[in-house]
Amino acid sequence: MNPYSMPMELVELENRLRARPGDEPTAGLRDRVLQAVAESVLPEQPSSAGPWDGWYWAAVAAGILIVLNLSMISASQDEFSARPALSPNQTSAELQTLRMLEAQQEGIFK
Amino acid sequence: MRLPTANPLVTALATGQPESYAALYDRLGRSLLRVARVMLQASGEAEDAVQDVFVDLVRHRNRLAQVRDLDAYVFAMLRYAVGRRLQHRRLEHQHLQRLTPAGADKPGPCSPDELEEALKSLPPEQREVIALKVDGGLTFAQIAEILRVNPNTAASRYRYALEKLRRVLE
Repeated sequence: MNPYSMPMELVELENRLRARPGDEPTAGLRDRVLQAVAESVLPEQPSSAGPWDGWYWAAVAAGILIVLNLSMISASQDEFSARPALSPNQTSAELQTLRMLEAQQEGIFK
Repeated sequence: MRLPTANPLVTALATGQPESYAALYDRLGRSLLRVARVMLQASGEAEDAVQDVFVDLVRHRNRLAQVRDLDAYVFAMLRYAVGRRLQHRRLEHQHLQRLTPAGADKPGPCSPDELEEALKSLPPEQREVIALKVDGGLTFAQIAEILRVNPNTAASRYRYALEKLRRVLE
């Protein structure tokens, strides 16, 4: 059966459907629709992320990395062992001072 | 893959020119409204659905570049707009049923038009195909595109809907 061909009674029904009165749109509908359209056509918003914004933040990140790297290199090359070691005499004098301080403290808190 | 359209109206719509939307309204507004009324069975809501279509069109105008058949595209948007409203109505109805005591529902006023009443009695998908063909003035190829079916299926569905309508009228 050809779905495009229809018996006469269906063609007549189709014609009756076409001829039925359609309600008119309310008077203000056209204006209302076009007003809504005009409100929805917003001007193109300039993108918050401009073409240079990405480069700017990339440069900031690269700068931070370079500073961190340099500070780590500098720290790793610091010679903490360069300070001269204490002599045995100096060590015993330091020890004596500490013991004196300890004794004083004990005296205070007794 | 669809080729970009060379239709100047589509080009103007895609660039958001207000006068192109006015031209489209003048060309399709009445048919859209008739189809929406049949599908929604409510005049006020049908007008809102037509407005939804135009607002959706302008908001998503960047998609228009890919449109091959503008009329089919606009009616497909109407179908979505109507669907959203029907869904909302269903939810609202469910909510009201919870609030309203049983038996408080009164039938609405009957339309004197026998044909309109018969049309209302059809299932929504059959009403839809009749509305698209008769009130929208679309071809079966366009209806098929909107309903995402084969054109033969669209034609068969239409014929079946008409037969059912005839039986209701008998």
